Amino acid sequence: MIKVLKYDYDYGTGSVSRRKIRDAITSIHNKQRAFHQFVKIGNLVSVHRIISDAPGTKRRTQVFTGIVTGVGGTGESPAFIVSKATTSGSIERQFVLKDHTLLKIEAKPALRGMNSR
Amino acid sequence: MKRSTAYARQVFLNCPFDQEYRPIYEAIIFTILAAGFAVRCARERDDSGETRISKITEIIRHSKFGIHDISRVELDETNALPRFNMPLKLGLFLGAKFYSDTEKQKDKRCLILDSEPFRYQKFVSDLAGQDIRSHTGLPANAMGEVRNWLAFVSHRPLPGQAELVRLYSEFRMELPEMLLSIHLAEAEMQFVDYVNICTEWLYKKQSNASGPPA
Repeated sequence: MIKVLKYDYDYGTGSVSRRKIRDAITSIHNKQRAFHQFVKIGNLVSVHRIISDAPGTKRRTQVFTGIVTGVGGTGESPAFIVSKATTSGSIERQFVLKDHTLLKIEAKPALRGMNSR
Repeated sequence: MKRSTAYARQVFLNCPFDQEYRPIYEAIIFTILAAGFAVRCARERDDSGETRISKITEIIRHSKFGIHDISRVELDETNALPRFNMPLKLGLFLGAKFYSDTEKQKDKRCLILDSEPFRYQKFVSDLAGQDIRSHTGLPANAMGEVRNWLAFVSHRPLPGQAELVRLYSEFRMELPEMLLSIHLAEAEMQFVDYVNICTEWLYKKQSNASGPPA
């Protein structure tokens, strides 16, 4: 790949700042890297997702930690299923990698099995 | 604002701006940037204090290369008249090349594109004898024509057409998510926004390729 000189000609800022564009691209690439690295069936992962209860209201980040139970989707739009056990049963949630509200995917240390006594 | 004076790296893009042509327009911009050149276009700034023709002549003066697409010869739906902007800008570019006294301006190079081969002979017969390329209305073909021409006139090694098309399809797949992240609708995306997004994406791709493995 040829060396792209950054802003050989300065067009100025458009309607969005370059820092914002850079952050969005970094976030997408980090997410893709984490997906290929950590999202494998049986792995424990934390998925960070932006939640806004109603449009225009304050947004917060929700972290969903669980075991990957399925990886699928098409090649262009991969998806995965994360399950976690709660006191009232099991919760399963499907995430689409291209969802812009999906902030990041983190790997958690592998679960350690209990030793018999 | 810092303006670069890299004359030999600036490519003036003269093409239609309608929605139908947009896929080719965006593909050409991506190719120019991926080839390491800067794209200059009449849409790069919007200043009511400046006449359009003075803006265009200023851009032509600072660009060694010019890509002119004269494929839009159909009659305008609202006025039933053809658009003459592209041939006018091509004329200005050729005029700058032929009538200028400076070696720098005489050294200008241009690529003329049309949607069908030899069709131009029917509506601009004075261009007969010039080597005009056809993109057949397909973005991938336009990318190939622009890439081959840039490699030829600039004497620089450039990525091949297949690699550029692969990069571009990867970029297009990520673009909707990028736009959602920055809260910008695709229809609202202006020339400067698109160029900034392409540049940042290509730069990131390049740093990922050359940097240490994550």
